[in-house]
Amino acid sequence: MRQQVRHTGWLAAIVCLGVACATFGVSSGSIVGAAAVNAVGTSLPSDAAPPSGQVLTLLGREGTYIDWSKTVQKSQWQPGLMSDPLVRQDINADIKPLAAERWTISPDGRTWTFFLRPGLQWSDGAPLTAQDFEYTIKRVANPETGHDVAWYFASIKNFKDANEGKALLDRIGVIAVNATTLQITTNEPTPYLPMLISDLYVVPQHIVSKVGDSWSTSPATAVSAGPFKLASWERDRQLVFVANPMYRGIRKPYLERIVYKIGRDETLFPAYLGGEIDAIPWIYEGSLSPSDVAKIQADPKLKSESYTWPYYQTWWIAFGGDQTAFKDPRVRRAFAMAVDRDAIIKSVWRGMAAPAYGMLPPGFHCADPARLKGAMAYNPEQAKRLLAEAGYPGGKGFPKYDLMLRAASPTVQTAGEAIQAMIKQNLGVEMGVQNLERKLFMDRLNKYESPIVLIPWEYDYFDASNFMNIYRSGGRHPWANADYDKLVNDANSSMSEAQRCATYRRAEDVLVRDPGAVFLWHPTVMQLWKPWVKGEILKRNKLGILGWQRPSKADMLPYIYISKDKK
Amino acid sequence: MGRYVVSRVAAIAGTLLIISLLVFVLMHAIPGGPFDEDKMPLSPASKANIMRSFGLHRPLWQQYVLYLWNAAHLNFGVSYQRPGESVIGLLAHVWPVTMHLGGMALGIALVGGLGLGVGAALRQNTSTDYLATGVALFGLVAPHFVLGSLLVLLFSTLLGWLPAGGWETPRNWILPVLTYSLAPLGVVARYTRVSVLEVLTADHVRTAWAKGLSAQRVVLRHVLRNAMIPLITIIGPLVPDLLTGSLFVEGIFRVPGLGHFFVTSVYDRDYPMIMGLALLGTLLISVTYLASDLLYLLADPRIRYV
Repeated sequence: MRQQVRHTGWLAAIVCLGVACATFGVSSGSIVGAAAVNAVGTSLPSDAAPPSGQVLTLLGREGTYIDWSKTVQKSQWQPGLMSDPLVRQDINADIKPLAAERWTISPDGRTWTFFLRPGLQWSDGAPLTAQDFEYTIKRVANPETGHDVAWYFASIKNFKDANEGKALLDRIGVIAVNATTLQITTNEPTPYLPMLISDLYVVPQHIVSKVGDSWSTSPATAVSAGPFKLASWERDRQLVFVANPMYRGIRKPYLERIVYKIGRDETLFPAYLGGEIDAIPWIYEGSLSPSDVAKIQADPKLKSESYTWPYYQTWWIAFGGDQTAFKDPRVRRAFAMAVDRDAIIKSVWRGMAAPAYGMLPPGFHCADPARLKGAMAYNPEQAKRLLAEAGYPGGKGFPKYDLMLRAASPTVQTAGEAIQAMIKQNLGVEMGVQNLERKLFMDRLNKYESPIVLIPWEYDYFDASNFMNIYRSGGRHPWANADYDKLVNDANSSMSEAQRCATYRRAEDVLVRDPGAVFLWHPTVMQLWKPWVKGEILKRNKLGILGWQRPSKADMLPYIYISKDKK
Repeated sequence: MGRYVVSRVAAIAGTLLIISLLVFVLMHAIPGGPFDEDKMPLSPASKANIMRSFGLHRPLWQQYVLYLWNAAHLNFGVSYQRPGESVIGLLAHVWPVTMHLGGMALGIALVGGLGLGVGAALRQNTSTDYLATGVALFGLVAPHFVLGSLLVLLFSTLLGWLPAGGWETPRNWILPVLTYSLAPLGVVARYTRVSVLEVLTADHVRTAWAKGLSAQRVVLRHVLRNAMIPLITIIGPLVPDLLTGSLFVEGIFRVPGLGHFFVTSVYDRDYPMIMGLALLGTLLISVTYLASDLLYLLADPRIRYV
């Protein structure tokens, strides 16, 4: 025992020495040939600033842990800096190898075997093994962890039962066969499993099991298997990440340092204009006022620094259940046809949104919105007729409901009021609008207590199931339809991509035409990048989208660099 | 006097107890709990585990009694927003920043407000008076978020003289302190002006002038001292207000202080933090009122507490 301790001590010393050598040996940025090489040995592109200038400064909200196996909602959103998932999504949302160099699927589509790249390690020198991945999945499942999006991995065998305390963690379908082989078994064939595990930010078992939840909050214990590691975390002020010299994966960064300042959304634009930060990777209604967006669009310099893309988010009106007037499909149809999406987008969103005809946003997996364009088109006459057929001619006798909004920004609030006015004008129905605080809203929504709500869903992973699952019976809204459930379940477990998309579309047809919801708009996201920030993520992808689509995960930051243009 | 202070301190303890009960009942009465998440509810087993780990599975009266017991031992629980930190530790971490900001703002408000007010009163209905009154009025009517945004726009975005946010160097302090101090400065200046004007016409001041005392001596000793009573009354509530921070000022300028916790704690249903802040606020207000009551003694020898 003592022997072992002493050995570990020696090992640690050697590792430390190694880190020191690696850090100091090349930290000044040695010049090899024409190209400069940064502290972790990446050759910088020819137009790059010197290694000392490879610093990216960002600003955003602060989370509790940098640990997605503990919490997603309350996490510090840079998991991709300190961790390599098994696979990654490239700018086209195609799955590419990362920690795993290859994988196989069993003939029944239920068992996936991932083979880890040899030589991967944590920043303390410990090897990164398949056991770490197994541990991470079980940590998410463990009810003791209280993970906030544990439903994410529910397709893994026995995961849900374990999370609900009905099965032992050991029964979960995840096994580290050996140090570099991980086997994952799912309940049903799950073609989108790689999408799910592209968000499996592996954590170090040897640290977490010893230190506990707080491991990721201090540089002393926050060991990293990713391209960067935590250098400091001053609460409420800033986090600093530096390139990880012990990183052996394939995302070797150009950047030497990432400074992440802490601030509220309102502080983003002034900080960007003042040159304090290099980018705002996330401009979304609420984080920038419509007048700021107008200013960006009017200013040629700012406009040239801005990137917009349709966000994978859909807003809709959802209805209450059988105890409300919306149990009659004619009433739902009347509401759907009484709302003029184009007018809302033009006057409220000032073009910063695209009309939604169905659940799946344009450019998303299996999306084909054009076919649904006429399905529930704006038609006040027919809407009136349908409402009269349902027993409420001219809106007479229709119960007074409030359209509930969830902690809505002024823009969404205005959109809600526009809908209110359209319902009044086209159907003669009086409806209130109530903007509820978040928890209050969700409490009522989850209990199916709200007769009518305006709410978004944004994607978690790039697969149609992520959207379509919400509307299955017993999901977020009271609407239930057995045909829909069957179609979605079939599509979820079909291993043929073409067949999957066809089936999802049939399900979407049911949902839109019934209708289960009134689909309204997909917001447009804007990003601002100073002209000296260069790299792959700012290139146009195969969907024609320009801009980085998963900024919250920070997994693409290793691919950007600072050019010589920065003063 | 001693008995008076003792009885006041006892009353403060009573107030804290009552406030704690009120806040406890209110915060548990609002729907939605600290661990209800946004997109989909937690699994019942996960939720039960979390509730147990934070003691939220017990009946409410037990939770309250336990809270009081722990609070009596200076243990105010662990913030749900910062699970690694105790409420005391978190306050020790963020409150100094707020006190620093609030203290500087208070200082500027007092010195500037007194100066402006006295100046305006002595030169009543001159341009000095109008200027002072104008500045004070602007400070009073411009809300923090408007003033703060204007200052950022002017000094950071357009002129580029000062950073738009942060708290690292004294340069970062200028804009938030200015924003924060202008409203109380306005209050102090307005009250000083009125109360100095009133004293200026009093008999004892006319006597002082008649005795041939210097203007400095008349103003400082005979006018200002007597004008202090209404001022102490008005400055009293400013102190806890400024020392507990502002969501807007701290938000706009990225000041890592206490201010936003008053709001986020409620949004997050961070029960221990809500309780901690309510008690802190109560304590601060009670203590400043006690302090201003005692200050009356110094300002006016006629006042006695028995």
